[in-house]
Amino acid sequence: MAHKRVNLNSGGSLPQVELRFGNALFAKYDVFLFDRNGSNPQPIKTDQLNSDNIPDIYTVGTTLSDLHQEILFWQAAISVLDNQPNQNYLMRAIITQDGNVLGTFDKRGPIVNTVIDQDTVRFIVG
Amino acid sequence: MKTKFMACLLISQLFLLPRIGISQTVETINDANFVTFTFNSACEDCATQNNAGVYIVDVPSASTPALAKSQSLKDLNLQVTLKNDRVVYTFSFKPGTSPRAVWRKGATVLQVFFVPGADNLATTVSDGGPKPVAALNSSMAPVSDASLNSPSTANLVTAMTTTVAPLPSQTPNSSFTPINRDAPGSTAFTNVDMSVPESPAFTVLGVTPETVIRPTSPRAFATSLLNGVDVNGNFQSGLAMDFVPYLLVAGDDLTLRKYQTSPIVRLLSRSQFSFGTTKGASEDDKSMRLALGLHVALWDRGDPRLDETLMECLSTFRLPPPPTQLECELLDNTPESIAAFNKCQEGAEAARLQRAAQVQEATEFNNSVSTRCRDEAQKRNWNRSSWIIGAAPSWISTTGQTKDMHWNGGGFWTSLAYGFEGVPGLENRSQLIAHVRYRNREQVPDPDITGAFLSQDSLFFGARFRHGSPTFNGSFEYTFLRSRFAGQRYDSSSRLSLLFERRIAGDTWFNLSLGGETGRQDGRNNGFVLTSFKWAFSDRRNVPTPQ
Repeated sequence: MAHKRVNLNSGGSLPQVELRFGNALFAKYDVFLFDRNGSNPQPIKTDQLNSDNIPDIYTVGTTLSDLHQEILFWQAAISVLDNQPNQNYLMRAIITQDGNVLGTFDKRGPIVNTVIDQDTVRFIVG
Repeated sequence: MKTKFMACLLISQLFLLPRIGISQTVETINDANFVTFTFNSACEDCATQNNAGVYIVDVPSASTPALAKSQSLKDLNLQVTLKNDRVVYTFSFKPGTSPRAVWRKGATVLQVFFVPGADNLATTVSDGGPKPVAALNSSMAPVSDASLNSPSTANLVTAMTTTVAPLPSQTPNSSFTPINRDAPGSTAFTNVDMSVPESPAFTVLGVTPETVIRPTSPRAFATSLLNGVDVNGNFQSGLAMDFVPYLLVAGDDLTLRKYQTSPIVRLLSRSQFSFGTTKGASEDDKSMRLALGLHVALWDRGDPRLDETLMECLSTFRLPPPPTQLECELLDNTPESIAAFNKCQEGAEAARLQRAAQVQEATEFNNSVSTRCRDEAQKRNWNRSSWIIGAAPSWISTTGQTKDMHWNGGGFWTSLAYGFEGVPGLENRSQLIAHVRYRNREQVPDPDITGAFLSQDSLFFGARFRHGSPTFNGSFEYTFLRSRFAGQRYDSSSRLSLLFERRIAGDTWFNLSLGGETGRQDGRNNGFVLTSFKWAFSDRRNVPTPQ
């Protein structure tokens, strides 16, 4: 499946990505930036927790022009915190630029114990 | 020797079958299929169990009963097995038949009915006899707990105005919890259930549905509701639903930090609704019962989402390394892009396989970490302070039409637990619980008329202090019950009990239990002092050892 796209305003500042995990589940996650060919991953932030006081928002890249066609990749290990039946997880990434939401990307599914899920988005500058 | 004994036992029971008088039952329920067990004295330690097409009656060998069966019951395949000091009667029943055990006459008579029809479910009711399985999970008669279990309790219901009512309505797919004598707290004096039912609606209806719809999105909720009504807009029987409204509408936006920092969000997230319907058990009974339930944890210091130690434990999760190659895409038709795409594809399959293996490995590790961390949290928080309330109003429609619904009583529960947080010596080993429940118009079996049920109002209060250590366990319990049947006066009684268990050496324990009842109108206040030594192969305790 092709990577999803998000269009960045070439006159704007660097984009930000915020990760949210629904249903009050625990998550540990990484964010990487891949080159235009989908290789050479560079860490933006790794081994982050959604349970601490640190906001789960990160600025992506160093210059906007370099981000063109590059791929943002994030992955998370999500866990239930109790034994309630029929639990579901939601991993949501919100891409913003200058406070404007450019795209929201959800991955969801059932969870019994833990799940590792990942998602990608390709930046298009212009 | 054992085989001979079993054969003799079986033959004697079969000879007795046609001889036992069962006139009372025949008068009330015509054409009913049932088996009657008649004991010489109250069978305090008997148990019944419904297990996948097989019904089991487990009695002490010293209390071997006489058996009889109804004339209409054909092809009864009864097996009798001797297991240590127990005699186990086993008989299979046809699919679509629901066994229903009823204890009568101060626990000296047990009748197992086989009620036909898919709308019935297996259940057990008691007029105060030995603890049946359904009572263990408190779904049928929450007030008939240990304080009510003595045979003399049945005498509380003498000279009542009886209303011949249909058997309590049931829903399909009910399940039983298997009997577990070795379960902590399974002794007669420590099994008073002081918890608030998770799904009060099912408790008020007296059912334990096997299939409960738990919608996790507004769409799933709406679909469930639509599937639960017929073409005329009437609720169908056997509908059982459990959901948290706040999580339905806002679960996607509920992050762990929001939950941890907002008391309102926590309260809403812990507010659970249940909904259930049941239908009459026979062709003549078209009644429909409906109940709504609310379960709210107002305060919970054992909430795992607030447990920093649990979060720290889960932070040891592993994430796999990032993929060496993401999915290949041809960006445009330039030679550079085509070359890059071809190069990407060369290593893509190997990268995909490598990634799958890494994800699998990390998931297995995380599963084991998560399970261990949550188990540890559960043990750590077993006695934490909390306050939980539950309520469930119910309605009945004698016609089965939703428009004819009218009030049919309800229930209210509350449990306040104190875990002695910050008190050295008690913090991890003790718990104090106070519990109140009120049931209005609860249908309980008439001890005198088979198939008849009485409407009962009851107020129950219980308090329990538990303390445990590897060498000493202790429990103090006080219970108070005030109840009345429709049109009768209230009867009140209370009970105190103390249990101590002290390890003498190795696996040898000294047990002491004492207590008594007061305030009974019939004057049959029982007292007891029991001492015993126990040498055990297992780690069974009469008083559960706090973790």
